[in-house]
Amino acid sequence: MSAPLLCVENLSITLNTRGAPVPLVRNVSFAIDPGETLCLVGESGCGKSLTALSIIGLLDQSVMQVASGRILFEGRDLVTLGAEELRKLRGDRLAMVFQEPMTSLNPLLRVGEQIAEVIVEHRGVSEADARRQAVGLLDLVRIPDARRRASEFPHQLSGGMRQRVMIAMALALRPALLIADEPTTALDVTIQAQVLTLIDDLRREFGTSVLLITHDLGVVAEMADRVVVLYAGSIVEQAGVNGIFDAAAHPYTRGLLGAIGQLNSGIRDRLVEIPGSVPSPVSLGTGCAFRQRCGAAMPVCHSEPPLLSGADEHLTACWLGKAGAMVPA
Amino acid sequence: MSAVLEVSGLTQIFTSRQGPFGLFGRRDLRAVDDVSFVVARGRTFCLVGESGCGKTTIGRMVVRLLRPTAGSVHINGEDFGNLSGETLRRKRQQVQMVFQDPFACLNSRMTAAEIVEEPLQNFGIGDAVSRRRKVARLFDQVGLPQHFRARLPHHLSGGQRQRLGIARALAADPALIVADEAVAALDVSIRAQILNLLKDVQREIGISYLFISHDLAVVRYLADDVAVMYLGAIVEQGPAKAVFAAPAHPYTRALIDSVPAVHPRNRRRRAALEGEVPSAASLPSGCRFRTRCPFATDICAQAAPAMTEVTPGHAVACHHAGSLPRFGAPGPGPAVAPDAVA
Repeated sequence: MSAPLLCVENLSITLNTRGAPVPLVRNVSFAIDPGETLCLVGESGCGKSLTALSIIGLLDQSVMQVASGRILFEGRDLVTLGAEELRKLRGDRLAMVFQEPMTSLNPLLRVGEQIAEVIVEHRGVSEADARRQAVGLLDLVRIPDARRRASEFPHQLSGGMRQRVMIAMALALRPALLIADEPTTALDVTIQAQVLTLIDDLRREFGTSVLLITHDLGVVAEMADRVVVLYAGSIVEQAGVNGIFDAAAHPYTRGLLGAIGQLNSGIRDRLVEIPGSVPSPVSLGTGCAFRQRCGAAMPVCHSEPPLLSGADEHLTACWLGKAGAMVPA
Repeated sequence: MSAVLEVSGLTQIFTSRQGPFGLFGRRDLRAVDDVSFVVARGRTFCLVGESGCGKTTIGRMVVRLLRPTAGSVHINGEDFGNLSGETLRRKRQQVQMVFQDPFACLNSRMTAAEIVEEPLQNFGIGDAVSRRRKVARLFDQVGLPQHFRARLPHHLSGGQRQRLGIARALAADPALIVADEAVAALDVSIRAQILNLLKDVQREIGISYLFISHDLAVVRYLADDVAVMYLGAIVEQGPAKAVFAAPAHPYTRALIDSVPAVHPRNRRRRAALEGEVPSAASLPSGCRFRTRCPFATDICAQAAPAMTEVTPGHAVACHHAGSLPRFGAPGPGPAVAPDAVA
């Protein structure tokens, strides 16, 4: 098996406060192989976007920081990499697509120029050459009439088309890793289907690895090779996509799957709910973060749960597994 | 009469002036075009469609935040279209609203109890003591602990705020609640809580819902009756069971087909809809879906299809509804995986 392209090791991110730093992401580790799609899934505030931002070096350093851990990408540690070197990597080897394409595009620049800018900046080709490439890229992301669209401003495009422009810009230099943070959440369901198909086709064509961040288990079922489930800043479960959907071991993952499985089954019984809501990172304390909402919580859950490893690299952070078939990782 | 809400021929045309001072004339945008439906007592009627299809505009006309350009809205048999001023304000007691964003729709300077009590005061219901009792009962009904009464909205989580918004809507004992994307902003684990709550409340007091949503899974779970909207018009309408089991309009089929799989085993290449929704300011001639429809022929450009019943109560506006391939069968249009229809 080939070496992973990206290796996140024991990543912790803390929020700077006047008092003790507040942990937002705790001890997160995962790896992405070349050409693989890994989904980071979790609810609002679970730390999935922060994890992505720390990889691409866009954490707001004035309020938060990587407290510990390493992010190894093509043999280099992105945490300790200098700002200038990181800037060279960004857009070239690493690229990111955000949720709201309107706020990530420059409203004053024609979309063709925005794409060309990335190419000129990193490859030093002529402007005319870069613009020609930009039109080719718009064509690649299936924007009809690419030449005309290239000379339009973002507000003249629909939401779905703007997201295609973002994808074209991200893929302009054939990055090894594409990070997509909720790329279809703001889009209608028929347009979501188009954009997901596009991302997957381009991954296949160029062998790009994809780190896809989503709250939507339907998107995970469509796209993922591997899945990392986050809850309140920690990984609760990590497995291949079939392992998650067929043999979820963590009560939180099971709860999430129960809710969407039932919704889509067409059976209209009472939905299984996860009681309560996500705790604030300030009041987390020690032990399993999910224990107040967990139907299977035991006294031992007040201590940090062990990370257990099952078949096919299926990892679960839960005391329940101790009694079952899984063994400590 | 069992109809709580009867909407007939409802139309909303927004007019915008073009150019400086409107020098280049006016442009009409048909946001809602001749929409009719009935919401029965104790039932849930869902309007489903994508952004810009007019579903929210219909909700706003039903509660009369917006005056219809044409058509009528009857609530409990009474014509709301002709009401105005104080009479309208009083009658609004019968129809209340739950909004999408529980962070934006609650007054941040009022306590939870004040927020729920306000409608009671507005409609002059009860005295101070009975109002307080009623607020306590509403807190129980929506599952908010009594000690939350003195809290301000920002002390509550998203799910708790949505419970508060529902308590406020229930306070004045309306016959109908219009819920516009009421669970869209909530996390998955909270969404189930609120959907259960809406069903519980309906079972207890027999209230009707007009539920507006883009989320087909939620609609399928909640709806008794459903209307699918595209570009301001209803393209298919009927009992939810019938519509989801045998969608007759190519757009409904495409919508159902676009919903992601619920298991990686059911991944498939989607014959996704081509293109995007045209602008409501320049509607296509004939059938408004024809520019994206895989089955479109000449007639679709010439005449707008009328709503026709396919089975009792299940109607569709499509020239080719009778000759489309069986739903789920391979054909030029989107096919549907078994798990989405089972």
